[in-house]
Amino acid sequence: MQDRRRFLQHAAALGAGGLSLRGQTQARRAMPADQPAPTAPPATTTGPGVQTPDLKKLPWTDDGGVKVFQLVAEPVRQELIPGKTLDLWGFNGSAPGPLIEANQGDRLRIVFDNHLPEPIAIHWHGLEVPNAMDGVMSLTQPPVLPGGRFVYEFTLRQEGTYFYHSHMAMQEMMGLIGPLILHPSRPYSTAVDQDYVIVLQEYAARPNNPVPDSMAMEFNWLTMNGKSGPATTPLIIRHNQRVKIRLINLGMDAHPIHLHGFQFWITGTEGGRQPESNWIRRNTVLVGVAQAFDLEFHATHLGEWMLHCHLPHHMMNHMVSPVGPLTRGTMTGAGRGAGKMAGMPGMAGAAMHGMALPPGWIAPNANRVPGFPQDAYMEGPMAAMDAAVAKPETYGLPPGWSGAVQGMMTLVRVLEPAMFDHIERLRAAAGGQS
Amino acid sequence: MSRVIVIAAALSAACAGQAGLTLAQLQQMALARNPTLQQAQDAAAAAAGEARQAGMWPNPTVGYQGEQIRGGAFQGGEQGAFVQQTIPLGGKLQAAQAAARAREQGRRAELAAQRQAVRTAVALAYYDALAAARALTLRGQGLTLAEDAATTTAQMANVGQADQPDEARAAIAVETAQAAQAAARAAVHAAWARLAAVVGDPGLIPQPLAGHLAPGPAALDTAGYVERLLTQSPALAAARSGVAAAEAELAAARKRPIPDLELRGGVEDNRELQANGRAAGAQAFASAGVALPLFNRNQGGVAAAVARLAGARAEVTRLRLALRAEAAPVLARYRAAAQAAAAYARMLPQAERAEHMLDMDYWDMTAGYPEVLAARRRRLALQRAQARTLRELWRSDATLRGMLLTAGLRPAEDGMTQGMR
Repeated sequence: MQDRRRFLQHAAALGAGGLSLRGQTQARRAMPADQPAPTAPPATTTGPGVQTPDLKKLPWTDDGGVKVFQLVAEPVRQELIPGKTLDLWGFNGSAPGPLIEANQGDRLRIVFDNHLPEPIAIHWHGLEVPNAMDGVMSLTQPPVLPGGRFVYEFTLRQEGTYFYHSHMAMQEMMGLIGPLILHPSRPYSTAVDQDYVIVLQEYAARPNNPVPDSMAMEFNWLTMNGKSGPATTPLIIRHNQRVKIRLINLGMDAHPIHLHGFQFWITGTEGGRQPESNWIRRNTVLVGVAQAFDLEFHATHLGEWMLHCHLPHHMMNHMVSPVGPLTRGTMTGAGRGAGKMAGMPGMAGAAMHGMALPPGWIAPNANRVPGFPQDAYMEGPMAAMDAAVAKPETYGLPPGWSGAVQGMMTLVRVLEPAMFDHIERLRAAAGGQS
Repeated sequence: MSRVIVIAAALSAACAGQAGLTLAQLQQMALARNPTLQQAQDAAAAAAGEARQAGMWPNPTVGYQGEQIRGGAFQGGEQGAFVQQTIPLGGKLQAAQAAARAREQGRRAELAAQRQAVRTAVALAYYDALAAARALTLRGQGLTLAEDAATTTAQMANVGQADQPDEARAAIAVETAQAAQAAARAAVHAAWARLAAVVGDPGLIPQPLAGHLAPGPAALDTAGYVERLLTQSPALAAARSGVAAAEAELAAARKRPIPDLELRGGVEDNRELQANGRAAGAQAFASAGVALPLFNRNQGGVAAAVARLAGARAEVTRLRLALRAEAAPVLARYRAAAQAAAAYARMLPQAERAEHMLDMDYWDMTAGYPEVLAARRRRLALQRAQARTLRELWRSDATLRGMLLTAGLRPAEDGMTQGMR
């Protein structure tokens, strides 16, 4: 009752517009001045805290026991890799939106503002919430008009990996999704040392237009937490740690995500933690549309291990056939980065300008061999951009590594303790996770 | 064939911005060599001679005169010498000379018109040659593009992205491009031959032409063009000179019945014996007379002159109408070409930008090479269309600035009697 009263008081303070039984919208274009300043969430989870490579966490404030989040849908500019930035729609400055992290049993209040030019409603995917909070426009709530606000409030009964997203289909394809992790009120029996969440998305963007085509059925930019390889930030694991990777997919394609070097257990789905008897041992999981999977494994094998979608066309960026002068002759001064990206700091193309591929890279009679070329120019030195994507998490990778990491792909780096600690120091010096 | 290649190379050099023969140089060469100008100058000189001749007095006559020449008492009769002179009266001589001078003026007006026609004809041939060279350059690029496309198609077939019909289409495109290039090369040859002929030097060695088709001529004020044409046309000036000559001819014809004064005088020795038995001796004689214009008053000549004057005046009227009629389609072509040229000037940078972007995209491996080739093909098509448009713009501009006189190898007299060409 107390919570409900506070909710009503808060809603009334928002001014004209009123509060319907299903919620409340209001035409306001600016953030209210009386909103408390967001603060960082206290570490009250029952796990290690979810790491969100390349994403932020949404801070919250406490309002008498209610965790209050300020969520804003807005146009964002999202850099997928150096030199490729898209005009997307996201939450609080990024697409996907920041992680909302809470605990089973928490009472959440999400004050949602629409800074988009069209109506929207936010759906809490998989959560058992009151129907009025389910976020289906014109069915469970009125639309949140441009400049308007809607306050969602509910108690979390579940634990596991969930997500929030616009319930408008095309808006989803513009990037409007974000992870929502609910930690259990009682720790899981198998604790993990590292807990990551990765949101899988896809866009169809023409080479010279930063606006993706949300109507497309084929996609040329595949992202993990809003980044495409090699700009995805590697997962840094200490040797023998137990790791959880939460995968969330909301797009048009199912993605067969494969982890090199390990067999993992599927310990959870978008339905939450699974009984151990239901765990499945695999090395590839097909993450369907609107699904989530939790993978767990012991990082017993040292090395730089790939984690990627195994759809061949999703393993590179803006894949096109390289036939043409690029594949004829000596390759002098050609290759990715020799065009508009030329001169960009760290671009391999710029560095390679005037250079040929490494000796022996292409067979002398290559153009007489049926099937040539396939990957010779799309992966490897031609696509490398080590310096442009350098960050603490890439420290120690072999030169040219970035030429091998493309599309919906990242690295799981299982490191000796000394190297792990060194990178952790680098990360701390850089201000935390990338 | 080697000569064609030399011509093509020479004319292509112009497109590359190399120095070469300018239009002004070619026009100066034509003014010195074009035979129609020599013909017109000869006609003017002949008219000048006729004018000079028309003012000449008739020559006097001297002679022997004898009468009653026999023997006997008359002895030797009357024998002596005379002088006879015709004195033109009534200003006939001046009128004839004025008519001749008017004809001379007409010839000089025809010469001025022909000089304009030669200059314009050279300009037209020059722009044709520039356009032909540009077309050959673009057809060469088109062939290179088609060959690139054929190679690319073969590569695409090698990776399963193209089929045999695609390769056949690419091969056909190469053959088509080769034929187009050959036709363009022949057009270059023809354009140079025409330019050399109108310049008056058929053996003119092919060499680079200075200048470019783009961006086109300075804008012409077309609003008052016809009015300016009707006041400044050299052809119309020549026709008006024809009227003046016809008027002078009529004046001369009207004076022609005025009789000349015929004077005759002399001295003679009269051998006839007088009463005193002596011969009469020296004596003089004289006569003066005029022809009475009773029957021949030059009626037919006057009537003919009147008719010729009417004809000359009608020629002015006809020419004014013809100029209007000829100017209308040329103005229309000029306006359409100017509008199209402006559009191409806007479109081409867009096409080039699109091509450049796709080219860069290809090297960044974000666009396929067939897209680059398609963009290059679209740009080339635009450039060919632009070259055709600029040729039409330059030609119509030169024709209008040349007061519609374009026949540089047609005799001036023929031109003047036919009106402008």
